[in-house]
Amino acid sequence: MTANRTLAQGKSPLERLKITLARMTPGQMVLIVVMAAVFIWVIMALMVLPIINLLRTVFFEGGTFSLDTFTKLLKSKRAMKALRNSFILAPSLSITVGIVGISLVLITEYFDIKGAKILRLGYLTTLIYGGVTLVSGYKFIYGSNGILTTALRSVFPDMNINWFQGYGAVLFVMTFSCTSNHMIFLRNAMRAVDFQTVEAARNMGASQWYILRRVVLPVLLPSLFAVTILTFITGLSAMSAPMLVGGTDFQTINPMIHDFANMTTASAKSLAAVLSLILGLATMLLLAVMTAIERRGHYMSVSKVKTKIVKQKISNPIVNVLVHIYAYVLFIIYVIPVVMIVLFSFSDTVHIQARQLDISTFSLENYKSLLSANSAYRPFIVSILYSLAAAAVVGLLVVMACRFIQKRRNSLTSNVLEYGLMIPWLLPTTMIALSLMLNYNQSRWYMFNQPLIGTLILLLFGYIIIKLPFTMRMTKAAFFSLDNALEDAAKNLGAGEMYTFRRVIFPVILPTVMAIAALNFNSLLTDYDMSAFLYHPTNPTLGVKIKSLTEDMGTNPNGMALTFVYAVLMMIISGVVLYLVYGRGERSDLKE
Amino acid sequence: MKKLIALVLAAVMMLTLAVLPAMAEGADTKGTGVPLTIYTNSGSSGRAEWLTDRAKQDGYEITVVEEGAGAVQQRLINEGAATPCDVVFGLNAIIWNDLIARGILQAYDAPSWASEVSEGLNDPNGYYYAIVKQAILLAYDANQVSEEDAPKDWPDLWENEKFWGKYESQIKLTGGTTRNVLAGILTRYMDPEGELGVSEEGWAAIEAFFAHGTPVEDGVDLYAQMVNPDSPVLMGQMWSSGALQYDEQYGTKTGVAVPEVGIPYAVEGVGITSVTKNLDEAKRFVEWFGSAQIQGEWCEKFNTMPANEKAAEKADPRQVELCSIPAQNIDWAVVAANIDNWCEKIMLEYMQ
Repeated sequence: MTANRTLAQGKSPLERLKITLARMTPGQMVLIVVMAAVFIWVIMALMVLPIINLLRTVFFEGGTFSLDTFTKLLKSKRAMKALRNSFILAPSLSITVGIVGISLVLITEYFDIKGAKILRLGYLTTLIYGGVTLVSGYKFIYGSNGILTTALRSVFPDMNINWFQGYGAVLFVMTFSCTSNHMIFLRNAMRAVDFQTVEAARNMGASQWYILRRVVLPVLLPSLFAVTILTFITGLSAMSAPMLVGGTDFQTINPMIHDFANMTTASAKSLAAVLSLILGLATMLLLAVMTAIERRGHYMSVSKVKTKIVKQKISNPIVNVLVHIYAYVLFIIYVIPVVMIVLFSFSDTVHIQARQLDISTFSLENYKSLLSANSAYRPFIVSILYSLAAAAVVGLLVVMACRFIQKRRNSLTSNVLEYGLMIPWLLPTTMIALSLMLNYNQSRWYMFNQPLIGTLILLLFGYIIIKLPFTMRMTKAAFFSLDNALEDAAKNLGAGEMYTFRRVIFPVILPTVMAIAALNFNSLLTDYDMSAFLYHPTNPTLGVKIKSLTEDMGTNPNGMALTFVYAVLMMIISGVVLYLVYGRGERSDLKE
Repeated sequence: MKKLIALVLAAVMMLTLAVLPAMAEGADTKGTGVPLTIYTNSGSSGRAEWLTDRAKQDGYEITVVEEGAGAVQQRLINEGAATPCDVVFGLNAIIWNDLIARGILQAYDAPSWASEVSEGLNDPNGYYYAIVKQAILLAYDANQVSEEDAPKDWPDLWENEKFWGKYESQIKLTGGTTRNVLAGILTRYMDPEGELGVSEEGWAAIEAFFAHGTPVEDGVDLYAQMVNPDSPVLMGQMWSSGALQYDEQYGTKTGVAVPEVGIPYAVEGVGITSVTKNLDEAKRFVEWFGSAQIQGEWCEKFNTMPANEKAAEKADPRQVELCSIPAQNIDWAVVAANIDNWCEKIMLEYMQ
């Protein structure tokens, strides 16, 4: 490859293209053409054209562009405050989640902590639930009638029972609920640390703290960059936590965007579009900055023969005790909300809302009424199939894209491809769903003249699109931390390109790809925003079913309790999926 | 001659008998098995399943698509001419009028039961006919608030200091109940000169309404707040069948304000899409579904308040009582044309 570059240097782009083409076998050429066609189609037909169409209807209704939207927003104190809050939350969350996330990885993978395996299971609970359920779990503890608040109140009768509200509460809940990516990706990076480097440093007399800072952390950096971007985006688009514990002082912008996007007028939709474009552009800016930093430094581990890390006992006894205490406090913070959700799923709506844990109200009624209905299973099957298909297609597309980008680093085409697949981060899910619906309620030549309304594939397209950016970002990180020497070695031994990819590169990145697919699967399983608009009439998804339980003018007085039952069932499914994908990968790791 | 007359008479009788099934009314109208796709927001808690089975017994092959009212509206708008939907039922007058304005529905000849529906609930132009009504109430817990101390009408909440902080103000304006309440308040202040057709006084009222309320705690319903001794909330908006449901659940006793101007009713109706390819079957279904017989069964099964007065005999007496409050005179077409803009303004400027 290096030879190619030197040869091609100093030639015009056209000549360079000619050289590249001349070196290709016919098979490779066909592959390139097919891949190009697929990606151009995915980006144009599924994202660019529908979104342009939507924005055109939204901004230019009546033929002219008006600045009304901007003046309305600037005039609105509430919108401006919410926007500011989002921009406060995102960076502060990036820091707190970063600190907690790194400490979790150190506790479970680097230091010798008693009971690390159990601790790890506790820290992993954020992978199986989220959103409203998770925040409700926290409210059962810290909320106005929560166990902690009730206990404190018996000691301090005059305390403010609504103490768990506002910026602090939102930051607290989100800090502990957004560490999933750290637990997966940062942990993978930690396991890639070469123990020989740690030992060498120690032999040279470096202290534990120094080794951590100068030897271990640098290896974690690329993954840390990637997960920090995700945390930042999560903070910007925070929804359930501010809604449930933000109080009047700390509301963020996303609930507002969501409500505007769900209104039928072009004017409301343009508000949603402008607000979400602001968030989207901030995301892209951060992404560009991070990518630039990433490019400048070479943070890869350079060792060729890695030694598995040996857990470090903390030498200072006081620090050791403190770290143990810290680890178990975190464990309690992580685990109790899950326990509460499970317990309350046996209770009824009245007690759930009052946050009163009363064993006498426990029964299996909720589970029975949910699972005995003959229509109960179908949504599970529908959602599982869709999520599975979408996770697989996204994984495949992104692996192909990343391979292309990896080989043509910094070229225009690879940048276009990369940012093209990031487009869905520019708009909220609801708007993307709308854009698809609006664009494909008629036949389009680029959709083979088929209207998509009322077809099964429409929702699949929706699911694929919303999972592209996350998958892209994380898979790319995996590709970039690949050791180039592996590929070069394979080439030197005469392996062809496909063979090298199939037998050398793919096996190395497969665990990450599978982990990402599992995360995608889990989050799609409960999706409501995309499903609500695009689901096939006779095949409603789980999210739609669950949402209907708590609709306005709802007809099920026990709806709230049933949402908890659903949450528990989802935890089980998510847990099984993670175990299959992740737990098994673990064992093969050990064999090595 | 006599023979001839007898023959003619016999023939006429035969013909009448033969023709009779085609002229069947109400629940006797059988389906022909042409598949129909039906959208509704009133399909949860087993309603969709019950209806599908019950319709099948009478020869209808229906597929019920069930989601929130707003989602049904969005779906119909965005699917446009490609919609597979033949019949829509449920929703409320605001959404019905929006769908009419967008040309999504077609007017059709009144079904035989339309005359049995309480006055003023059917669409005057025949785009939808009412099947169920929900009173939109200002509810309080009569165990904690006496009738004298209770608000008589919505403006009391913000005009009378003693109610400040004691009623819930909404944090989401997408729900049907909320939108009916807002329509009931804002239409009192219509002014062609005012912003979005509402006078300055009207906007000041809305501002005060939101400023003096206690914002809803997301995920906790009104009645849970009313019975919670730590919560200041004692009153708020409620739909009539919800009030009965919650009373049973929480042991509360719902009292309601009876304003002089009346109260808004969320009218669930049934309409036919303008692009349906199964118009005849759709009409037959409407004739069948809205009949006193089927609505009576529906009401008994799901405790609804039928708009059909004959079927209303089967309704819960407390439900009947709540729905006996006179209806406020509201121009729903005007509301439908403005409600999103009103909500947008409230969300940007007045909500806490």
